Amino acid sequence: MVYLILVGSLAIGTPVAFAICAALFYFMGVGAFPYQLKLVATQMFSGLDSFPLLAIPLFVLAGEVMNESGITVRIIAFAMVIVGRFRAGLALVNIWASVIFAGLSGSAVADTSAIGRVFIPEMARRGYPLEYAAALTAASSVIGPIIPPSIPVIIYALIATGVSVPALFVGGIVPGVLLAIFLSAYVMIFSARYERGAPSPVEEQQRPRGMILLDGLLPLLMPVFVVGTILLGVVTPTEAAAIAVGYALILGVLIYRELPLKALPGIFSRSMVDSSIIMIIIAAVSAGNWLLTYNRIPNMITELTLAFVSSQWTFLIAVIVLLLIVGLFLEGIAAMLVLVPILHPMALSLGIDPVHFGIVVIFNLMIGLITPPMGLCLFVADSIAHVGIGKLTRAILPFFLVELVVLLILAFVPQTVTYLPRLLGF
Amino acid sequence: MLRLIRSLSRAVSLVLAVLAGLTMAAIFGIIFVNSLQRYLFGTSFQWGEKLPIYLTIYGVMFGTALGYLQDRHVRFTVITDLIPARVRHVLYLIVDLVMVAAGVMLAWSGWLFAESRGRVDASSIREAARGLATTTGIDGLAIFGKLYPYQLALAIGGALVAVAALVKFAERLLEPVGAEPQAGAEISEGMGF
Repeated sequence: MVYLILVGSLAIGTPVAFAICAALFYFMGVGAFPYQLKLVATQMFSGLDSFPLLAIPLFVLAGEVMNESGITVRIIAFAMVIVGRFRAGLALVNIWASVIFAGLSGSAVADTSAIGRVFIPEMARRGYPLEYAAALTAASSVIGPIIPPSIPVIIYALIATGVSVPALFVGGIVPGVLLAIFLSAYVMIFSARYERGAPSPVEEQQRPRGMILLDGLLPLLMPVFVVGTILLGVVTPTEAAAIAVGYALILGVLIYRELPLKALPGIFSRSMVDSSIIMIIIAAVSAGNWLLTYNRIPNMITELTLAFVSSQWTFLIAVIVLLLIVGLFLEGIAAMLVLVPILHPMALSLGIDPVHFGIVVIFNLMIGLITPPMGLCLFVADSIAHVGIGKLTRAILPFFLVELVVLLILAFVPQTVTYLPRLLGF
Repeated sequence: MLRLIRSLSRAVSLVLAVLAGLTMAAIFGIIFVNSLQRYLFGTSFQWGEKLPIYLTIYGVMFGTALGYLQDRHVRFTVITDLIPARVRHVLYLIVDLVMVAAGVMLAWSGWLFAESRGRVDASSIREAARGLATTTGIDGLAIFGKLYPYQLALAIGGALVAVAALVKFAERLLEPVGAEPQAGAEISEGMGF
């Protein structure tokens, strides 16, 4: 009956968090001791009672402030000067602006929204098909949660034992850059034809290059400071996120003077609502996970799976296929919260490096951001391009395949993830 | 009638948005000031870690209720996207009722939780609450040194979700079929991971 309530309410479109709650309320309501109704609220409260978790609303707030304060525009101009002169220059700028943006916000959807508003119309103006521009923007924004700081990494470290936030942060650097390189190679080979005859985006810049580079330095100090202080252990990720918000506010309000104070209430409110949508799932899943753990269900699933799967590689392939399918239907962080408590112990039992496994899982689920029907980045890109999800899905297929190739490299060449953390002593 | 319900929806949304915004501002302010104090002057507020956590729990509850009014929650739309608008409309009405029930249950569960453990001291906030009561002469403020006001967040949140779902139900019931936003439009541009 519990599963019927869970599956039934999910199927009719009940928000994921409350579908889980509904099933738990039924179970706790009819179950005998020790199951009591108050346990749902108790476990939901415990699930949120964590200081590291506060990094989520603060990083969301940092992203919102950056979008409104002119920082994004400066990042794009900076990337334009650096890579705009090459073949398929504008497409390259799109990708590398995402890399820089990733170091600031760690959010793929915020990246699609911020960069897409500028790039999708601009790429269309310069001859790129609209759906291609939207697809590239959505695909390159997947880099956001891979390169630190990253909200999914913080959540992963909270739910998976034996893996630290700094280690995962460092582990994500090479995969994020690798994805940018592969996407760049693809656009340089297949997209240059769209820009033929158009002047180089660098030539169209009105201001001197030196000024643009100088202007971009202040925003670029932020990721260096945020990631650097976390990795050096000077601040916790939550404190770093608060400092990032403070820094973005100083830039937007006092230095660039592009962020009016009257915009702040709306920014604070939106950030809290956006964070709540994920944090209420964290709370509900915490309550659900308590029930599963109390009944040793993850252990049983682990033992059952390990009876059939004995090789690391077979397990990784199975996980990749599973997460690609789950990513089609469920938002990445929700999927992570449900599956990681089960998959992580299995990976450890098979001797897979926890940082390697964590990055593979996060990368895998973030690909789900560009696959319909639950591809959030796809929806945001379409809300800017207005080409229709069907057309956009066809245009994104080559980028999806590029990301799949990078995922397989990460999965089967663990050093791509583990080399840097080991080098830095994590 | 629809106009009245929409006005009610806007009013509830506004209250929740203000509460969510104030909570977010307070969380940022406390953590930011506390971090700067710790690294610049080597001191920090004793309550500077726990209070933002409790505020976040309240903020999540306000945001969750507002998120429902704005149709922003993560949900499976695989089946609902495939069915005709009229059937989807009926299904979403059922979802609203499921949410009312879930909200009421959460409020009840949260009340039982606060009742059972609320009298326990919130150790890192206790002294600050007592100090506040002594300074202001308002003895009632000492309650903030107990877990009760913080653990009540779930009960209040559940009630707010039930109210939001009820308003949404009334709005959906009265509005013409097909007027609700489609899956893609439900996604907030600001949201993101």
